[in-house]
Amino acid sequence: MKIKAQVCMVMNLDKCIGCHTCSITCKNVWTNRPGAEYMYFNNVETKPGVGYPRNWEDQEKWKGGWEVDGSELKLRTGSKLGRILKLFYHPQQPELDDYYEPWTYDYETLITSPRRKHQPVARPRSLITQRRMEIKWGPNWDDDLAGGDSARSDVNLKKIGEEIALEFSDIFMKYLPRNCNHCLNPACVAACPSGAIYKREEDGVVLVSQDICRGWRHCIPSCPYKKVFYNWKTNKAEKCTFCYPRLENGLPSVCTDTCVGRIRYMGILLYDMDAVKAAAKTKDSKEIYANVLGLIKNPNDPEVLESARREGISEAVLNAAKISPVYQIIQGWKLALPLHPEFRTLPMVWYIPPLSPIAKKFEEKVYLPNSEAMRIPVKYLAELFTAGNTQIILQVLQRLLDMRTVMRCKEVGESPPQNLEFDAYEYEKMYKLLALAKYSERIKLPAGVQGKTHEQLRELQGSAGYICPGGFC
Amino acid sequence: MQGKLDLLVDLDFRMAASALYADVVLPTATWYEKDDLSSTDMHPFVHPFQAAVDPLWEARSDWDIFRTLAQAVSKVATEAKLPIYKDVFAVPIQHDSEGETAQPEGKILDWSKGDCEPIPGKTMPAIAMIERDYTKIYDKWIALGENIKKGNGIKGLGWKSDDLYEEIRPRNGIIEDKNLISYGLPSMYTAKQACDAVMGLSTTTNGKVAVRAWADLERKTGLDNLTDLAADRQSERFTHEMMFEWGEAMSVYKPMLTFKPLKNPLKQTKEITLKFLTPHNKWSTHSMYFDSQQLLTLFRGGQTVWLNEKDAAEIGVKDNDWCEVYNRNGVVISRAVVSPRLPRGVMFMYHAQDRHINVPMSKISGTRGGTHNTPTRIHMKPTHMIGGYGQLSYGFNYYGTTGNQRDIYVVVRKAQEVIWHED
Repeated sequence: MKIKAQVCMVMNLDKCIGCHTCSITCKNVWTNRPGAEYMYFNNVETKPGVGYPRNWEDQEKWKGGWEVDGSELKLRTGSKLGRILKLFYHPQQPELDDYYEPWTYDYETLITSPRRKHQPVARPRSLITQRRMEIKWGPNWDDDLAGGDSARSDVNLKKIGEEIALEFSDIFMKYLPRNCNHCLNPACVAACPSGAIYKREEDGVVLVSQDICRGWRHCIPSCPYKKVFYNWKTNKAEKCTFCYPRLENGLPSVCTDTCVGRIRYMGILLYDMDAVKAAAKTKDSKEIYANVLGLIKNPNDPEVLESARREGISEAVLNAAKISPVYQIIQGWKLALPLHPEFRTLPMVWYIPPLSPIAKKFEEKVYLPNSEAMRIPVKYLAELFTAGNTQIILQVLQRLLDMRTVMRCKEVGESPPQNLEFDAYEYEKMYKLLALAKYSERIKLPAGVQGKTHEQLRELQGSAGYICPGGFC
Repeated sequence: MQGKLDLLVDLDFRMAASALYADVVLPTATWYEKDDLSSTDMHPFVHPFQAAVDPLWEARSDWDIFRTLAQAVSKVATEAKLPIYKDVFAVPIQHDSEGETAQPEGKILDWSKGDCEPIPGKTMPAIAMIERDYTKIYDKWIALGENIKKGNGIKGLGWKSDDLYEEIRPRNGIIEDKNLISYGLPSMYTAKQACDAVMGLSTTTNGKVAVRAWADLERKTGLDNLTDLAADRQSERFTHEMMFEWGEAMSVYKPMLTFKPLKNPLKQTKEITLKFLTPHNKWSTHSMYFDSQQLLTLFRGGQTVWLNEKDAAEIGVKDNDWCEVYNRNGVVISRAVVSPRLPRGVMFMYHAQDRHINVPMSKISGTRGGTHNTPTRIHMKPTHMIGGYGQLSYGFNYYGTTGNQRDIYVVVRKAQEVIWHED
């Protein structure tokens, strides 16, 4: 057992209101600069829909992530040799139009316009060519089911097989915010010919070294979530950094901090690195989720703590792991699920699936629905979160419904039903964390990785802005 | 610009439609650049702002702008030697006053037809006189006048406020210029002083004052436990004859009238008539933020109108096609969002998308396409003008005739041409 610490995020999709605050704040902080205009480290998609970049989920087309070939785990984009031959041309490289051509407006027209016959307007101009542009696609073109054909092109809907007619009476939709998953088995790290992408020792954050990156662009198609991007100005790869400068100070990522719906949770998980390969190689993709749960370890188990300390994990990190809200949600209550586990990268951003309104055909007969009576088809959620395992979805949704039942009973003074999975006290804790979702309870991060800086303290003191002997400090 | 408006002045920090059509635009500070208060009568709290940075160039807080205007007007009035004017005007029967009992049986008695005696404040609006001294507007603007010492009140309740006034004096400082009529009164020169004055007087921000208001309510009702009053609102049932005539004595469903949106639709190409609804936009707070590049990028980059897929198919409109949406009131020219999310027979134009971003000209109207309010027209609904009957009485900026301008139909067709006219 080799214990490592990982910063992990959970998103409660039951509460996401699709406001896109997370996208805007991330963009304003990280990607509002030349070369990065089209990048959304964090984006929010409406499902059903094609997402950003278009149809990123279709791995038949994009060949992202891993596959099991015999007994070996291989990148779908090809073997090492195969990829060396594609070094200068990668056929599954997404193009700008798969994302969108970024634009702005000639706002100055409004301010500098002379007296005219007709009111001036600000018209769109491409941020790439600086020329007038017609807007034909955007990073969130099918928001709220805009453009029915986009919803119908959703590869998850196609996989379900049966005709899910998107008719007004039974229409369903949900929001899916996503950023880099900082996977345990990242395809991007494996694909880079220069070794420029690395997964940090101390917290598992996956980063691209701008010094080492040579712009081979093999990471971009390899990521099945398409969350590594190419900066067309610097010719290097960039990606979500989990706001590591904030994490190192005990602060959550900007998206987590600014989330209006309070849907995001951040905390530490301790996991057994020795078990990662086996979990990723699990033959039946429907079993991957269970095997990942198996490698997430109990932070109160003395054996786990001993191994962690041997690996040099600090007390602050261990303390954070013990009060981790993400551990409670993922392992304690088993409410959160990984996105597309069949990609085999073992993502560390997890999702609590949403409840939904009662389907029309059940409306008259049902008061408190069970998970099968809800509008969002269980099969659809299974395509997203469990590689098609509907049983797990039903169990998770039932836990959420049970929590509602218990709280309702408390409100009206009835006794809760017997034979629930947890006791009433546990459901109240669940309610407190998920529904009230206080900032101080959603985020439990250790601060200040002090080791290195402590040694260099003498050199660092008072040196900001001053030139030290031998050059800049 | 033709029409009845002589002068339009806009205090704004965005060059959106209001500023484009104004004669004068005065640049105002944004939220982090000023001291101010924000609230509404629906909120039991107040948001005070404090300036974090200075506004740019000559932009300043709204309070400062009005003070500057007051100073200019007073100067001109003094130079022109304007005398004190006496104005007579009608005051509507007020909300939360005894005047609400003016029509006890819900029957309209019209004094001008001889049904009753004309009694100001009872059977007709009250008549009041006010003195206007234009040379002193500035003097009065920068100070808190003494009238408030006589007492304050709202919603039919009153309380004393002379001590509160005296507390504001040392807190804010006084007007020190002997030449002004407001010499010695508490200063409200700066926006911060104005905010402090308001917060010292308001029941929302000064607990002492809230207690007084409740105490007055206790006196008036003879009750101690006032939360009992919150129950049992009779506001859902009306017995005024005008409400009966309109069939609105109780909340009932009234289907939309089927009337033609205009006498003769153009019929130059396939068209469809849809009900026009204008829900709140997710990409803006009314028109605020809609024109920000970040938010425009997150959807379609300009005005959109939503319609059902099958309705769109009937007129040959695909997703993102330009459409003309028109009726007797005006024309909108916008790109279509075709979706199964809407029912048939309906068009949504979320408000407010303004009309200064990516809006072409319309051949039908000969001018630039309009906004969500272009196909609508304000109808003054008679039931809104009842007055002097319970809570249906006038209250400034609180209850008064609002327009009802939905229940509108529009004719939709694929745009014939998209022209921009940058002349």
